[in-house]
Amino acid sequence: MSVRTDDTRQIAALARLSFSDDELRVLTGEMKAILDYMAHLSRVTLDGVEPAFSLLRCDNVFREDCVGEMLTPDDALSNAPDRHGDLFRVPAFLPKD
Amino acid sequence: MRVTNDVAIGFEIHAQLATATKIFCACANEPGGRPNSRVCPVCLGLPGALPVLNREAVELGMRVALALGSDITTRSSFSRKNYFYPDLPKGYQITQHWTTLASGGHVELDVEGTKKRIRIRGIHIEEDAGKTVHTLHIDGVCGSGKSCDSGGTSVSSGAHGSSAAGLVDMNRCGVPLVEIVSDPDISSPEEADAYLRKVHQILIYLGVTAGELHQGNVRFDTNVSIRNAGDGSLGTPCEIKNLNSFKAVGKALSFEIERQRRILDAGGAVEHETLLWDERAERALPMRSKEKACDYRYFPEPDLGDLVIGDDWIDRVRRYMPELPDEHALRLRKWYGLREYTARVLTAEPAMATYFEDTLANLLHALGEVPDRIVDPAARLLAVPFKTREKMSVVFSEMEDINPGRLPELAEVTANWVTVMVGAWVNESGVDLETLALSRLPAARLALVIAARVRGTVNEPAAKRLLVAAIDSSESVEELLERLDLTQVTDSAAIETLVADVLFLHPAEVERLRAGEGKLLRFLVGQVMKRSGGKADPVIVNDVLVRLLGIE
Amino acid sequence: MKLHELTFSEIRHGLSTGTFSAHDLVESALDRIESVDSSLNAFIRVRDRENALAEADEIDAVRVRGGKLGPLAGIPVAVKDNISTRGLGTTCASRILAGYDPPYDATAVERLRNAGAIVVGKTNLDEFAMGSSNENSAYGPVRNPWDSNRVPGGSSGGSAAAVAAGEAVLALGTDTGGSVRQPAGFCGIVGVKPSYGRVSRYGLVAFASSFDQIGTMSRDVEGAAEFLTAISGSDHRDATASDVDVQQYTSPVTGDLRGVRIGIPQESIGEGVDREIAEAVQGAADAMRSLGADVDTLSLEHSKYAIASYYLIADAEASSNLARYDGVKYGHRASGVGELDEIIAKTRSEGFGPEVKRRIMLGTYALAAGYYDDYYLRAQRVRSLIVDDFTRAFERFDAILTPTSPTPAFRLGEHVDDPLAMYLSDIFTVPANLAGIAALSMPCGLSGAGLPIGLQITVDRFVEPTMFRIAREYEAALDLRLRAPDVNGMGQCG
Ligand SMILES: [Zn+2]
Repeated sequence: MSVRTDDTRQIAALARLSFSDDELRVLTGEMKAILDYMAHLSRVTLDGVEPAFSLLRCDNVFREDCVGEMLTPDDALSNAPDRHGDLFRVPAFLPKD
Repeated sequence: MRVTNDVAIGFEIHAQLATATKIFCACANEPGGRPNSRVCPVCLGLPGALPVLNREAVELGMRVALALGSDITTRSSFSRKNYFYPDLPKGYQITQHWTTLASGGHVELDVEGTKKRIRIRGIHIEEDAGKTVHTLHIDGVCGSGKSCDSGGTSVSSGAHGSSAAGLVDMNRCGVPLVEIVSDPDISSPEEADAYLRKVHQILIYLGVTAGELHQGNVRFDTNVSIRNAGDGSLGTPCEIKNLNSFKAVGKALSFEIERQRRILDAGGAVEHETLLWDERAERALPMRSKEKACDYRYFPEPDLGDLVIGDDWIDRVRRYMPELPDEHALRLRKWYGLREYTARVLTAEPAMATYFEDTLANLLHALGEVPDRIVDPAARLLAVPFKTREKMSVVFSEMEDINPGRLPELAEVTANWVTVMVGAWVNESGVDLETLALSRLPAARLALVIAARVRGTVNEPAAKRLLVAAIDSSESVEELLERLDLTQVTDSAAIETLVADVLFLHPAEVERLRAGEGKLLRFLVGQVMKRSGGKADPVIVNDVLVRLLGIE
Repeated sequence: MKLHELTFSEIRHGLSTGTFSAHDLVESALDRIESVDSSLNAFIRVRDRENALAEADEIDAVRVRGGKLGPLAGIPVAVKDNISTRGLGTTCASRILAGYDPPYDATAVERLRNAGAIVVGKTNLDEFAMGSSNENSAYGPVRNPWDSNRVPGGSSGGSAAAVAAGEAVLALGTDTGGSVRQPAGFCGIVGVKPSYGRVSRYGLVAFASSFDQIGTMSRDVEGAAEFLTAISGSDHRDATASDVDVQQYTSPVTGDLRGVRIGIPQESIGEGVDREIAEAVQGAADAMRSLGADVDTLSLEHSKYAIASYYLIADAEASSNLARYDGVKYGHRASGVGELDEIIAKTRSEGFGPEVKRRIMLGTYALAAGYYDDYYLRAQRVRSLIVDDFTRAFERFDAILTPTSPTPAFRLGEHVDDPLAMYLSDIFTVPANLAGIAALSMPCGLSGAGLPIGLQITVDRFVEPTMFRIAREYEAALDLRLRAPDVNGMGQCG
């Protein structure tokens, strides 16, 4: 699979990263080399092989429905880059679906 | 109006589950309060924090699945839905994607006498996002806020312009949601309304959600398409998000159906779009193209194991399933001989139906003419909807052979008191029925008021005064009857004296009545009632008048 | 002998006999940091001296009274800076978390404190634990105490260097693809990656959630084992922490490995592996054989696909785990005005270093519509085959012996321009993470250039006792005490 600069630009938008055109060109080259290497996985015969998603995880681990310790608003906001009273403040944005 | 069977509508219903804590952390699940006061490292998305699933959220989800006849998935899993939004603190939502809690099932509708089935595609549980208030920020002063969020509660008309700052409250992050996805089986806004109200009623009966639409406890997304005139296949659907009331759904559907018809009538093709409903402008607006290009990059949530639900667990949840509205209405008819209409009115809200059953049991007890089994405390306990099916079936079998006697009549009277008289007071006062029933007018107290009326101790107007007094005062019903002097005069001799006085005072009217002006009888009854201070039994007054005047 | 050169076992003995106090130990560690860390750069932040000494004094007082003390009482430990510590900050060596102070402690930190250990500081790492050389740090590279021109390995390079140089007796690292074992190998110490689920991940800043494990580092096997015993076990805050019983991982040396079956994968001592490293591993096998172990070769057929499978899955998870750094709740936020989307992109682009960005890009790609099946899903299926290889291998063997890395510590800057070459150096460590099994790296000799060579002992999931037993017996038989290098004379070979 060949990665083009346009693909990289689109992936960058999805990942909320911004790159200069030069950076994008270099990055595209690096990604291409790495993905080419990854592509050798396509040589493995995988008939009937299930993915290993939940291999190591335990089924049915639950928490009982009891209220525990919570942070105070001041603790919650202690690391905030910007706040307004008890609220996190962020720059202008548009509502999403 | 056009024929609407060419329209195909489906819904995604999101309901906040009424657990004590959030779905993946131990923060309290409560509305309101100081912003960012019900948060912890987990729901704030702090680095290193991890989710642990709340068992109760699963069980409430299972209840919904069982109520809708869905198959609970033996092994389901959680996935991450990745997108950036300020009130989504982890940058992803934990939801169920490939394998969901349940699939299949249906909701039975009765739209103007026609039965219809709406198929359920799937049910899953997931976490809610936080809330953002958009403000106009002018010279360091925050202007008035408008609420908006990624969970889709409300968007103002200003939303498509930009505002200068967003203020984020994470209290709602991690509140458990159940999502019910239907097939596009609905063919009109009327059916849509019936479907949503039915599902809402079921959720309330199940006790799984607070269910307040204006609080955003329940939210709707819909998809609408128009079938191809030729082969009847589904057309391209458009989604409308951000619907927060039954009214908004109706308006949005009418708007969207009209829009698509205009396009098709003009020979155009409907393009797949996601629209946001703008409540204020009553218009659905397309999202900007930049937002359309979303790729959620779902993948299995590595922090959570699978959810494995065996038959044992399902049986346990089933055993403690509350009664559903249809079952409840049927039981009210069977047990008390209520009419179908009355049973439906009562079961619109479980709180009302419960109050009715409780009041009726107390009334029967007060009148002393009840089969013991109904007033037996254990059976009375069963007369609330949150009981097990198992116990209910026992009671059913015991009830079969009881002679109903005066029961149906008393049941209708009680239903009338609960829905009309108490209902009027509730509407006027704004105090909700459950609060009233728990505080100022417990069922036993209301039953004594009704008993006074049924026994004829008070007449109709006096009974209404007695009800209001019973709500407003802490005196016993007996004390109230005495203090307010409401006891009906039923003594014929006393009434005869009053009638004689009236006949003496109104000779002209008596003449005209005798001459055939029948409506004057009501006038004379009214005069007698007035002289009795409203206490005379109007039926006896009527009888005495007729007898003394010798008219038919 | 100086305090900072003692092993954990010697220190514990000295503490119990009153040869020195916790106060002496903490003072020695902090002095050592003061004198050598300007050249090593192992620490990002060092604990306030007065506070740390006050803690030590308390422990000494309890000891004098004859009170009950935890198994790590008075031991100075270093904690990798991607593990949350309240009041000590946690940066992941990233600009994006500059100034972030978590309002809670990681479970492992809570447990080490309960065991009486004293945290002396937070150690440097590759940003968000992404790297094998510790060159990807916003706080500058860490230097290898054995040779300051060489890398200490990564990503737990700061923890490894700190332990090797005597700045701490024990350290916590984290291992996602070899990040404890490889630097332990490069710095000549013992490093353990426990089975997945052995140690709670609560408070460990996630890189790749299905691989991340907190591990222990020490100058001897005993220290790594005791430390692991102290921090292991189930945790109601981590659904992936296992409730399999924790055993006491320490036990006396017996001089006997009879009945222990050890396998050496042919691939691990063949092509692409330095000859002297292959020889050192063979030498270790011989030593174990002479202790009575049965040693044989085996083949792990799919291990050649491990790197590709590992990086696709790890980066995919990382792309999601690192989405939370958007400048809303904590950490860096880009200045300037504009639309939020742009500010977030600017924040992230300023806050993350090049390697982190590369991995987020690769991971986003692997999950994107149209690529998911070919990359992420395929990698997860190949992972199943790798797991099956191990399942079969552990039917025949109790442990698998390999080098930790194909080469000893490489030079600073050697792989910086070739990310893929850097990834390939993890060839022997990533399989254990893919399979969730336990592995340990310990020294097994010095290269011709005088650099430590790491030996990796891998066992099946939750069979840590066997792993420690082999390591302990081999350590006792090895008769190769790696002297903590003289950091002040760095550059000369020990
Ligand atoms: Zn929380």
